[in-house]
Amino acid sequence: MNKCWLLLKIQLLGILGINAIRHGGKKEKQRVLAIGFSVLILVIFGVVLSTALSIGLAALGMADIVPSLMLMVCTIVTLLLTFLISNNVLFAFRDYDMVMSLPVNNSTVIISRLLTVYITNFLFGLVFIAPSMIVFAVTIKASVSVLAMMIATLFLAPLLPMIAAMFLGAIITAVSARFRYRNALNILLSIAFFIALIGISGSINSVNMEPEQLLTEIGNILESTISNAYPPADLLHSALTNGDWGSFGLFALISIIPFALFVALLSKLYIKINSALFTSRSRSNYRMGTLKASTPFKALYIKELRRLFSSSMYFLNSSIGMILLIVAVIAVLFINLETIETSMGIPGIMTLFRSTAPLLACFFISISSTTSASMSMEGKSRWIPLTMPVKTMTIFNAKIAANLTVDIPAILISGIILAVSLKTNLPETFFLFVTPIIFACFIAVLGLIFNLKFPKYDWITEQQAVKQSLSVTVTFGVGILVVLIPFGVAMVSGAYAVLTLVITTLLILFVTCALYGRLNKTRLYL
Amino acid sequence: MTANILEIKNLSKTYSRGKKAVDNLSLTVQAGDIYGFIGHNGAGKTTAIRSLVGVLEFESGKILIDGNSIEENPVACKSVIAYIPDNPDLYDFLTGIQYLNYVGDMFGVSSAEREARIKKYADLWELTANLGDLISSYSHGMKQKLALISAFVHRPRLLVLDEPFVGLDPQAAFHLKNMMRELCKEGGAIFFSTHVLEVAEKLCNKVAIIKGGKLIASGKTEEVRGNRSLEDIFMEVVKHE
Repeated sequence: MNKCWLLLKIQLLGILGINAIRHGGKKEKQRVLAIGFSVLILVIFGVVLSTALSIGLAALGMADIVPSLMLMVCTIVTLLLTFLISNNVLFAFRDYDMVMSLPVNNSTVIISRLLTVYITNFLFGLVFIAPSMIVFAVTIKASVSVLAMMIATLFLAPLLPMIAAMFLGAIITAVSARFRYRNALNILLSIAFFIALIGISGSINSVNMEPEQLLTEIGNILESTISNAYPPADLLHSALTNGDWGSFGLFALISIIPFALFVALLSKLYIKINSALFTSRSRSNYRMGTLKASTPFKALYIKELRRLFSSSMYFLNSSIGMILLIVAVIAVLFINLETIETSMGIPGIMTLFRSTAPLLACFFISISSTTSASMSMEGKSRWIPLTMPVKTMTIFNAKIAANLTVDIPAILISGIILAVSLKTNLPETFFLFVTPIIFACFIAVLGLIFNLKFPKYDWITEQQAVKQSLSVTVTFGVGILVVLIPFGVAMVSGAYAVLTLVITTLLILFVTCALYGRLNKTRLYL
Repeated sequence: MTANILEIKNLSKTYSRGKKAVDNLSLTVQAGDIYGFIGHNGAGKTTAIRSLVGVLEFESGKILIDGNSIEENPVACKSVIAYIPDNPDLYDFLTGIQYLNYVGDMFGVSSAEREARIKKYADLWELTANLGDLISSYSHGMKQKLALISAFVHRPRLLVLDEPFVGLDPQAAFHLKNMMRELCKEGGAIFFSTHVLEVAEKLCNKVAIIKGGKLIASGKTEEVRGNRSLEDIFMEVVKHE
């Protein structure tokens, strides 16, 4: 246990930036404090959201489903987020040789690495589940026994979805490791699993019922949906509402046993999987042929694309928004939109939806910034572009072009699908394409600026550059705000929704040009 | 083209905590020079080298490469420099040939020239068969050889190397020394840091010794060492200065 703690401590010193605060320079301290501030804002946002939702449900007389509902929401989020980082946490990390040469068991290494993910998921669960638990406890005047169960739930909740995601990730990694084009296969399998997970989550929430009936029956519907979809949530519901320790014990076992089994199973295969990943398949049979020359921009652009597709972690986390966009617009195809206006009794809702549809694409684009991590991904190799005889702007343009290469095909496909499903007129169709394309340029430039401001070059796992960097978080936060503000204005103004969209598009275009101009004055140094 | 390929004038670089890494450094490298840059760990060699190749900012001084200022005209300067750091971390996700082609594209080397040069140097270093493999599969020495081939692919006027002989096997080191001499004969110049004083003594026509960021001694190798070995001079300078 002591060794496990030592391994965990080393990881946490890097992840939490403790050493950077204690021993780093002024710039490094500022960076860590800025990350801390961003996390604090997200925590406040999560607590407020969870509390408001829980109080709202309690006011509607549905307090007893609050903990199980929040558990299920956290389960889905934990499952998806953990899946995206799964293979990078356990396998082929940069300090693998050093860690595995230490006198520790495989299981200790595995547990220490799982604990870093567990701590992240636990804190995430704490933000969302704890407020709902407090609202629940106050509303039902919970006994000491139920309070004890609630506290234990906070620790148990992340285990099952985390292990499920890790298990899926491990299977994909183990299968991919056997092939030469393992990265491409890893990306394809991960996308397939991710879409399957979204599909399963989506089918859980879809209820075949008329909207009026939905409003009156929502409590019962939610309760039965949760019970059917996620049995552990049902056990928790039963434990907390009836003070049933039997149900709680079962919930605890269902959470803990898979964790133990996963560690035991993976311990047996750990070195085998990692060895397969580290064993590069070298053919050593190259013969010099004709080499095609191209421009520096094209060379940089192709290099960026190769970098993106060489890492399932980088690709999935920076491009997942475009996959989600395609999935979302395909889902819209299967909704009978014409009945919504009549059944909801809100006249003009479809017109409003048509004029704000481009913002739907923008929402997904805001989580698809490859540039917000592209400088960080250069890592220790960043001396290469810095010593090349090209203008800094050529390097930046290649990174922006790679980002747009991911975004634009998805924007075009989603635009066509939305135009067909929403039956948009010519101006609406025009903005279905133009607004998202301008927004994609904005996010690409913004991501690069933030990554230049807050780079993370000294990463050990790609996860640190892609998921735990300030530039990615800030780009995502600003991007979402830029989408939500005009969306809110359009919803409130109603008749002026189209005008709001036009003004928003022009403003984003103007800001993008200004930011691009600023980028032009940047010089790159180590 | 000027005879002075590299001119460093009063270069100073201070790090954020006030540590002066390079202090008023001045030296000149001329065409045909193999210039050794000697100093113990933390003496300021790497900082000076990074500044002169344009990857590190500096507060004061001037660096001219082939007559161009690295601050005012970095692209012109970089187009005649090849730089290999002490630990060349390359793009692991590319194959060897993809990396060399990438460097060829960046320096505008024609297809015919890059094919001929890659073949020549890859054959010499017995790396041709591995060029189709991912760089991630290369050993440290193979990566270093690939980095050196990429440096010679565009025929630089100034080759800047940080500890080039660390990690190379004796045969590869022998070939590198010959290639360095060949480049100098063709009018180029080489500026490299090293801890291996025997190599500096045999290979370099000029040396500079740096300590605490300051230039302690510089000039023609035989003038700097006099009747003694470079090792004796280095030990004396390090102790007494």
